[in-house]
Amino acid sequence: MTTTIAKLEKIRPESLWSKAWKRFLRHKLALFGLSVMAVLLFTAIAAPVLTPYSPIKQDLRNLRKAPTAEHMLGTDGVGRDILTRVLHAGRISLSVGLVSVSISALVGIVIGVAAGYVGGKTDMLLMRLTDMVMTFPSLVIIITVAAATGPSVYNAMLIIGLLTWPSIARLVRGQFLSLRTQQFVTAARSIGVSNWEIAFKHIFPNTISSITVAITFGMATSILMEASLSFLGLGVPPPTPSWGNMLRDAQSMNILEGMPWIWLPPGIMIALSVLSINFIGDGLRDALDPRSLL
Amino acid sequence: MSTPSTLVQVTDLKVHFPIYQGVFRRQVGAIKAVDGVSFSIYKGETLGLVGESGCGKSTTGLAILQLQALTGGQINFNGQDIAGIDESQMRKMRRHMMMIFQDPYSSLNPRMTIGGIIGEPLSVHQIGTPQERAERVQELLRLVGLNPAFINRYPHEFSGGQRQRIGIARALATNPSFIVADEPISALDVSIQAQVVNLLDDLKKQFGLTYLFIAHDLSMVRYISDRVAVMYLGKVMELGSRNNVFDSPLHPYTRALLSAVPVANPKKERARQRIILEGDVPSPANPPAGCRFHPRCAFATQECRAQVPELRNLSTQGKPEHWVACHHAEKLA
Repeated sequence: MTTTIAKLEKIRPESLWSKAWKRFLRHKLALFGLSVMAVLLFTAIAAPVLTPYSPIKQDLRNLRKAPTAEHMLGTDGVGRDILTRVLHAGRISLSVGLVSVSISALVGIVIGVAAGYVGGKTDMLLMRLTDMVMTFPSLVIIITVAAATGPSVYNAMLIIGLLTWPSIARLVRGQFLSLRTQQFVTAARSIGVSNWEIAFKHIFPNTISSITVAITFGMATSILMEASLSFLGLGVPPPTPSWGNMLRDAQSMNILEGMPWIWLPPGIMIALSVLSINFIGDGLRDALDPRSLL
Repeated sequence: MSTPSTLVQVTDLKVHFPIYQGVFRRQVGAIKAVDGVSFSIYKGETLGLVGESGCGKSTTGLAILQLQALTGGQINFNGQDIAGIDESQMRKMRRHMMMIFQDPYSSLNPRMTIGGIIGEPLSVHQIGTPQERAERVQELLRLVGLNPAFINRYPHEFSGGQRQRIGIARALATNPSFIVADEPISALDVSIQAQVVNLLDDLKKQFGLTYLFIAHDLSMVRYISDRVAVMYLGKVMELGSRNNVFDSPLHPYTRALLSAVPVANPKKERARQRIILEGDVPSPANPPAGCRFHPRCAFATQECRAQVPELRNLSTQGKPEHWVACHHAEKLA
């Protein structure tokens, strides 16, 4: 008997994820996005190796130098190499995006599951809380928090995460409400599966694909939010580089008009990362379409 | 036939769904989906439960398995009253009573493998070691006519008929004594329907199962059932052996229902008298007083409008029981 089982295990047709991966590979734009993202991630991680300069150390002999062979993207107002700073800023900006979307997903999933599965009064209370957070004027909150605690990378992560979870919570709740009425849930109950297991073994796995897509788009939003916060001086505090606070230099008119090498690179990085993440999200949405499973 | 012993006894089962209205969500009424249903199911028999859409037959099935909260009534399973007992206690009973569902597409979790789906009742009730469970799953697949090598596949790789077989295998996993089959064939192609019904019949003989077979396809019910109950608007109208109900129906509603079934023999088909009922089924939120069928019944009298007819046994001594809820059943026989 054991041998037959061992044999049967080998006849393992492709899993749902490998099928989704194949569909994803057919999506040209998503592949493009994935490659760009891979390059951005690699240059961010390998930043100290890729350039010889420090992102923080000032060099007052080389202020606002246009691109040369030595400084390929020129230098900024205090003589720091722009290329070095852009690559190091990638580390900060991408990790702020990643961490804050993780916070947002964690809070959103917990609240969405609780509201969607428990229902009744719990659902009512949690959804009103969600509505409240959605209506918060985010800038006012951010300014208040930044003023009270002072701007820091961790504050930026926390604030962005705690302001963006409502959309994920609503998505998860909606999915739970619709999946809860499916016959396979009644079937699980008829077998005697406990409520806890129904929620996490039967319903939750069916929501993962939509959550994945939402998280991807959420990451793009978080990167944008970080950029705008830092641009306003409320996010990542200098001298730590982030794409957003590098753009601050462009607030002065003569830099904006005469020295594009100072503000163009971080701007392009923001656009490129957000665009490629959105392409990846589109690809995931098509690849993980739950209708292709039934 | 020796006196059959009762496996499931349903007494005065009621399932009402409250209707809320207004700003304060005040309850203004109730949909009486099942309103005082009583019947028993004997060990080893198939009880067919028929009736048109919305008459409460599926709700009755769900309520018996405690998957639908009851408003009232008793359900006795194998000598134990299970109506409204604690879910933790009920969970222990569930291995003895399983359900087969109508829709083979939505009744299987798309994220689980076939092996996981069929083996779940075993792991939930902690039956056997993982190794024994894997063997049992393969045995079940063979039993329902599927290749045991399918255990690692996903539901979307199968056809409707195959999926329904998977659902049947899941229901059989724990060797239950009682199975509620809620329209198990109505979502399948006609050619597949016969296969699945025959499979159910074979399994019943092999394992001595007892079925509550809910359907609206009268010829299928006639084929598979030992006894038949006819429901209308949340109440049982007639209950008797298959031959009694199909060959000598007593209730005017049963007659109308049966007259709608086409006959394969062209000569008989030409002679078939179709009884066309007038009007629609009344709302279960506000069922008619007296006999629920009286507004559409050709034989209704003052008595029918005023008094609810009891379900009475009209068979003579020694003959199989034939219950009917009609004041005029004797005159109409």
